[in-house]
Amino acid sequence: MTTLLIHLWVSLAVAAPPTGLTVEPPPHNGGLNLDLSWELPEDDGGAVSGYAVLRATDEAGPYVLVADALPAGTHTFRDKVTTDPRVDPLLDTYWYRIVSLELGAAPFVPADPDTPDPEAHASWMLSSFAATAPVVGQPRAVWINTRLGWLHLMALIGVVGGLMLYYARRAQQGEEIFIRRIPGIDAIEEGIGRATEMGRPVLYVPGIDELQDIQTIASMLILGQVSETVAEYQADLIVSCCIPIVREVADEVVKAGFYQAGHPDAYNPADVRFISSEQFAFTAGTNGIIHREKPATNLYLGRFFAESLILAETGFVNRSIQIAGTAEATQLPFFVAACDYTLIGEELFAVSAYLSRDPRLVSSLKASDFIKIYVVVCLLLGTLLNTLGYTYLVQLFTLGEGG
Amino acid sequence: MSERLSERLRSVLATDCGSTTTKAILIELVDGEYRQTWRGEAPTTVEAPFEDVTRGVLNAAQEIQELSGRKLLRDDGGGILTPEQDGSAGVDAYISTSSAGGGLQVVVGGVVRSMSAESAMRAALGAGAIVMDTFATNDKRQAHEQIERIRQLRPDMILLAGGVDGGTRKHVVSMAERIRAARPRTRLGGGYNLPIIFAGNDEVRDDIEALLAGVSALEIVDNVRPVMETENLDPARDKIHDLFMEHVMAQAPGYAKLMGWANAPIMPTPGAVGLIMQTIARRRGINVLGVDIGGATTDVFSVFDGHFNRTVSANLGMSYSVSNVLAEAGLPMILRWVPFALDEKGLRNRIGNKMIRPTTIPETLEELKVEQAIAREALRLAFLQHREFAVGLKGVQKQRTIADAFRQIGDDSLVQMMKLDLLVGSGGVLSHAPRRVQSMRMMIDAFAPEGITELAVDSIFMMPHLGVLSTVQEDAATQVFERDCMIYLGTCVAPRGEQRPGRKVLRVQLSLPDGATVDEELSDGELRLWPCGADTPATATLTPLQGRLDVGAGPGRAFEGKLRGGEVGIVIDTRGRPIVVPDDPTVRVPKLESWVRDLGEYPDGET
Repeated sequence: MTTLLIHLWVSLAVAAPPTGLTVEPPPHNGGLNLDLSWELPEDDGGAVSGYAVLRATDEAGPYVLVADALPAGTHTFRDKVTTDPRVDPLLDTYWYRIVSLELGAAPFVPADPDTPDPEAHASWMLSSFAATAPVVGQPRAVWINTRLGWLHLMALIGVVGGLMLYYARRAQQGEEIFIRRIPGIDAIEEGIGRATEMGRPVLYVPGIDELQDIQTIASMLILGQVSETVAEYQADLIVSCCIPIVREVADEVVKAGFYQAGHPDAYNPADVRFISSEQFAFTAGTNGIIHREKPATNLYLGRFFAESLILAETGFVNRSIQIAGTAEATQLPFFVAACDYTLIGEELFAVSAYLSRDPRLVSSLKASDFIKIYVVVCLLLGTLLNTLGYTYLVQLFTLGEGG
Repeated sequence: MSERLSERLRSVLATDCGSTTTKAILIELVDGEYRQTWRGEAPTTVEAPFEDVTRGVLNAAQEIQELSGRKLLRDDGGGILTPEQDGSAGVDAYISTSSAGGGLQVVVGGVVRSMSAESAMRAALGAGAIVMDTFATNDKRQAHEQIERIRQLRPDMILLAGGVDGGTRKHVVSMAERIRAARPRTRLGGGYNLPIIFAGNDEVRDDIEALLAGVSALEIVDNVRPVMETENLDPARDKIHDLFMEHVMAQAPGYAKLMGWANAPIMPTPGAVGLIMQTIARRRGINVLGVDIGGATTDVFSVFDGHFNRTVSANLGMSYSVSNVLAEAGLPMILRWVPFALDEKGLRNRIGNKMIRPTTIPETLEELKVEQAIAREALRLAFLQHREFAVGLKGVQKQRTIADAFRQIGDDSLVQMMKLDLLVGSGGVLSHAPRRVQSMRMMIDAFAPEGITELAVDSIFMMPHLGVLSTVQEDAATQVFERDCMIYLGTCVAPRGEQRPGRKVLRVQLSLPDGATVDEELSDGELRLWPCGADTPATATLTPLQGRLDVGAGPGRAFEGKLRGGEVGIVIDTRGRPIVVPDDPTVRVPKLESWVRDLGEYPDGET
């Protein structure tokens, strides 16, 4: 009988739990994660079909299920201790237990199938399967990620900042900072001069996208410079907008430009016009301005779509000098074909610095130029080295998991 | 000047009344060709105690009379004896230019500085004027500042432009109002109204007349910029010449009499120089660049593809303005041309001495070398200013190709050195250099000609006389220009393009007129000379030895053709463009010495 009981106990005995559970904060993380690792039991892959991870904030529980059915052979797990932004994970300690799931065991049946209950699930697991003893872990924030990729990124940011300060200082001391000449930007002032001589207005279209689009923001910065120059020349400026909020901002920008130039009296809010939020209604309206008011110079700077060619062609027929600039690659060919000058891609973002010569803008332009050169060199070199089997440069740019 | 006179022209007396010297030349028909035969000089007498410019003219003419034996002066002292009598007395025509009393000083106004104001400036400079100031809507000055400045300037005349025909009205009227408010006065006496030429928007003429007719001698001519795409400078230039005669010259001491003697209108000296440049460029179908470096100013003239431009660098010169050359160029830039060890203090002292004693000339070889180093920088800076000014019209709608859209760097100057055919130097430091090769080297260093370029110097600054002569008899002017005015120095060959240091750059094969042949491969950084006369050209094959180098036949292509020599010969310059001189004095001085030695610039034993 005793033998029979022993045999029955052995046959009913749950699969062995993992051993050697450790809980440590990862080396590079902000304090949200804990890394768990354990040693696999002997019957891993046999009687043990997988593992579950339970967590509690107290040794006695209650435990909740944080990972279910990790496959056999798994011996590490990274747990994100909280997703609640109101909870500071660094203030708590966390207890963990690993459960060995048995092959062929009946699944957990929740009381209410529609409402998951990780606590009940965990409780069932602890009662049904073998589990490790609770092991405690304390999250810890490691603010400096010492991985190569992250250090490299940090160094780059430092270099950019340093270069910006360096160039800003040089520019503030009155030194002429060289910026590569872009004919399209030079032509903006020329276009305003042309409008002045001809007694006709300058038309400015800041694209048709929302204000938060980076191209529209760049366009507003340029509009500030353009309106200042227009005011200096005592010429007329018409701004044609597709988005109401863009019109409001453009109005303020133009007003500021005229004030800056010392000609507040010349500012006319009626010249900053909202046409329509509908793409082609806006296009038709702007074309109407070109036909009626015959601007000598048209500036299309911002984000454009299908209306680009329609506007540019109308301006061309009107014999206006046209300067376009967009980072919208699909529209560039149309502008290149129909305009006198086209600012291609990020040249649009350089205009403001170029026109204003503001030391802060110029310095950021110079710094970003250097980083671009560096990245291009690394790309070329990295391609070559990687082809030859050397992966140093790839590692330099690999950030991996940082926590 | 009547057509009949130009047909029967056998002899001409031409004078140029400069600020200090009146120079006279006699041009005669010799064996069917016009030649400059005699010349004379006398101090200009426009200032007190004489206050009569004709006295200086008569003195200069008298010198020629004494030298040539040809009677030129009327017995009654009433001027030049015209027309020619019996081939031994008198001349068929008397002509003159003038820059006495500071030349023709003009204030220019326009709407946009780089557009209508620049066109007006070009018209004024082309007419030989000195532009005292240029006013425009965007010149960063407030209206009251502009008014005050106009009032202070006291010009000989004002040229106002602005707006295309049918263009802006408010800007032009605004400029006119400022001139009216300034009530500018004339430089020479108060007996006449200041001439104002309006050459702007034709729709604003009535307004301009209402504003300015009462306070000035207003003249209205066609717009210098009728449309943005074209310039129309001739009416304004002609009117400047007319007013120069009618108003300015008539007020200057003795000029009324001089105008009576002259058979052609008296021209401002620089205007006449520009005219002969244009004439030569047109007749020979070449591009010409000319420079006249003086004590206080440096004039640069260019004719490229028929476009004439002139600039006056009023602050670059070899005596009065020499310190300004130092200030603008900087000591290291001048020092880089001095072929011996000289510290900065020494150079600064030499330059300072030259400024406070402007009429001195170099007494030692070292002083000469320093002066020529300064001249290089003065010429280079004046040329840079000229290149910046001599650009295509601004504000023009452009027909651009797809390739242009990707062209990032544009050089829009009309002055392209590869297209230059003839470079003419004038002024004491160039025309009177002890050796002609020194003039040639100075011009090569300063202008850095590219490809194949002929170089010449004006022997006795005869170009003004020939400019005004070209209005009378163009053939006579060009014949004298070629035969007597120009001293051809030779040809400079300079490959353009990226050169690898220390490598072979150019293979030079020459067949010289004396029968000698040359077949050499030159390395980067060399300056070599082969003597060759001006009368018989050398036959040359010039083969670039590095891929994209251009000697004038296109990148990488060999040039085969004739090279004209001169008093110096054919100079091959493989120093690359721009010319880079080492900063380190221990490297620089030996390098300069080797160039000097190779060209034989200074006497043997001296470098």
